Amino acid sequence: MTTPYATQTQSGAVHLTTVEPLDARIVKFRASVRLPDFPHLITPASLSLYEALSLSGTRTMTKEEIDTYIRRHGLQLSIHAGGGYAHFELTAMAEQFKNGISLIAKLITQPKWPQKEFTIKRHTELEGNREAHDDARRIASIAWNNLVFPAGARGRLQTLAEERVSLTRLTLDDVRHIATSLPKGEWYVTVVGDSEAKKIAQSLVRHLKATASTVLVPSTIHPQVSATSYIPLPGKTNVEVRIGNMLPITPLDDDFIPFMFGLTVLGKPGGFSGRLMSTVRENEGLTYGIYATASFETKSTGVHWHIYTFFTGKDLARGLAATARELRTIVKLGITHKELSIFKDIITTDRLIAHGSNERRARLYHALAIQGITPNDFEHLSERYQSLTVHEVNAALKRYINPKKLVISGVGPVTTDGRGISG
Amino acid sequence: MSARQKSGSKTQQKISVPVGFEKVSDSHGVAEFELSRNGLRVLVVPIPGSPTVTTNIVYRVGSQHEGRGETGLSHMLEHMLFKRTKGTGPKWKDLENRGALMNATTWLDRTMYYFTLPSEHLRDMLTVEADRMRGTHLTDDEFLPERTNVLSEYEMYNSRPDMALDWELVSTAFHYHGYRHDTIGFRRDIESYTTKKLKAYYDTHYWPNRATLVIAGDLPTTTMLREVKRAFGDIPRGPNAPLFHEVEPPQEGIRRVALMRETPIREMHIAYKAPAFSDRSWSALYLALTHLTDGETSPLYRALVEKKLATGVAANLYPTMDPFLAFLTITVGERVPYERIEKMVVREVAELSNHPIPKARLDLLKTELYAHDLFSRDGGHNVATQLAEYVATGNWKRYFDHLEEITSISGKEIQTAVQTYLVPEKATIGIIGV
Repeated sequence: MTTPYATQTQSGAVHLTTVEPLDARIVKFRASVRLPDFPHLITPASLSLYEALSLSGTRTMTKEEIDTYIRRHGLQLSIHAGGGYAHFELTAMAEQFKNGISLIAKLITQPKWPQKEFTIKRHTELEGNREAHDDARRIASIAWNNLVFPAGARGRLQTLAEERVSLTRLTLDDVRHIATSLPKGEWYVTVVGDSEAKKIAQSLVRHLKATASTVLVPSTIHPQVSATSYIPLPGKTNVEVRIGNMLPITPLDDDFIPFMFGLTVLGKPGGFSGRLMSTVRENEGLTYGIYATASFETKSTGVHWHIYTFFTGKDLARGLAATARELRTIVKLGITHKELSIFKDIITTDRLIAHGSNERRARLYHALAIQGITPNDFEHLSERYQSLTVHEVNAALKRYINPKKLVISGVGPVTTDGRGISG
Repeated sequence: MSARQKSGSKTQQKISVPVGFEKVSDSHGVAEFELSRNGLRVLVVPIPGSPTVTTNIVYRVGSQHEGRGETGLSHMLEHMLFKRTKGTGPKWKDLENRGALMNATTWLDRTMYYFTLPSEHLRDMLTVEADRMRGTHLTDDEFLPERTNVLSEYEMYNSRPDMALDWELVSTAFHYHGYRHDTIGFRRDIESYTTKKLKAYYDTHYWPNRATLVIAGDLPTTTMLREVKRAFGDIPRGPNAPLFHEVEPPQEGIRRVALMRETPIREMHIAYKAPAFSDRSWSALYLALTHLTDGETSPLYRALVEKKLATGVAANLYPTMDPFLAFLTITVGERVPYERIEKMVVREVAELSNHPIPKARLDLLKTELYAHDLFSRDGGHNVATQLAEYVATGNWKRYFDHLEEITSISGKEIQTAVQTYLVPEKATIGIIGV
């Protein structure tokens, strides 16, 4: 499948996307693996330890040798893990890319970590867990997530208490299990670079293909619920807030694009173009930032949406009321023709800006690939956005947002029954 | 050092300079012009193949130029440039409605405003910047609600113990220089702003001869300059009022500050007086700090994290016009005495002071820094915003020269920088809690 910028091919359970570079001197590479056995045998805690240990050694290289190798070849390499995935991100000068891939191959297939490293990293994670009790935003996010995702669901997050228990019980063998699972997962590889870089990436794909296998993500659509959670956190001025719910659709549903368009009009992240920013912030001065977003794991899984913001304890009631009012208004009256036209332009420009550097291209096409969206799909999605009518958008908003059925979490200077506490 | 590659090496094409401009200089494919009528400086940055153009206007005024009682005014004014203007042409909101990637930021030495849009919007982007340069309305009905937003922003930062500690740390390290207060200003000053005060500040600083405009994209230079002249050509040169500026006296001893907050976070921030970016020793100090803290093979990581005394170590050194600070940030373990951390840091710094970094290690650090810097110059938007920071230091060409300078620094220079700047008896040390 080929578009002006990108091509995607599949070899067994390895999906390769090659993207034209803006600057051919620099190669951007991403490889993500969807791990089997998540969240049962592979847990969030073991993933965080895998991330911490990932550069700590291989069968043929010590941590120091890996460090020297990375620096000598001028590589920028980071490894992250979470949500059932491990992600490898590499930036290299074109002439060094092969060396970077060679290292990544070893890290994937031959990891070896001393017990001492595990002990240090687990200590660090436990300390991070302790400090996270100050992180109101993270706590609000976890609380909200765990109201919308039932127990055992992939999208559910560990509470800080659960994470602590999990980390304490973790052994090095648990983390090694991730290492042995990596080659057996489903791989998504993206390279932004010239033809030589693409050939090098293909060599890694051939290597991965031998052991990779498809990892199905359950297509479960979780039901909408109505719930609130307010968690007092002393010493804070602001209450971090999340408001939203599940949707009974997946991205494959016809209503998905119209709904996403409407949500963008409501609260496009960044800047002032979303309605929430122009009303709750600009007109009423109730917050510094208020945005809305939607998430899904793959195009076959359920979607959830939420508004994220903060209010001072003193302004919490007014802030929530203003937000609720905007939700009711957009559901009842929908978006306007002017907004339809403006946001079509915004989406067109966003797409162009997303091609404005190698890094942006890598980020865009890689995220799409993991979600099962090919470059061709992306072209069609873009066309679909441009063909939307006000009627379609408003029907979707009305159908799927129920202002009386919301999940709300708030963390900060707030009582457990949702009353803001003035500083 | 095979990872190195010269960046921006382009054959200089002869450019016919449009009437009304003088070419001032060039470096690595970037050309600097001045609009003769009013002194506006323009940097033209070619980005071949870029589908977008970025404009970034840098006003040479930042928080260090704010006197007593007016801290945070540069930042407040930045917010006000997103309000009504007098011009009849497009406004920033129109550009946002076309999907512009846009923002503005204020810092120690400068205030900047940027847009990124498809290239055909260049004329309107420049029209907006010219309009708000001299045409911003500063009235109570616009200002008072926005001050509330700025106070909200203040609280957002202040609620973070690490940021609040840095505010305390910096204002303890500096007694006179304008770097002593954070860019957002003191709360009491923010609450006391008036429209009159804002207008006086605006009328002092927002003029073409106090600004540099960076344009990065794939358009002919003559086109870019023609549009600049069209937009800014009628704006007169502004007064050459001197900038508020203080000189910090030498620090004679160690200074300490503690932030008492109800929080599980334990951090120690150590600040050392650092050279200005124009000084070669800045690069030497930068290498020293990178060696001390970068990665799991660094001395401070080994001394602190591997021994479970801390969970993170980091260093920051910023390119500034005047001498600022070098920071060490340590996330300290529960129940670990801060004094112990301080002793370990002093020991590792002394080790570096007495023994140069081995050449093999130094070469690796240089290769890494050079490569990472190149990677960050990815696309017109990044280049324009980074270049603007170098404009603010007083010499934009350092954007290119600095890379070469880093590679030429010797081990001896690094030792000298450590002995000069990382002096424990002249540090300012901040902790959260006890």
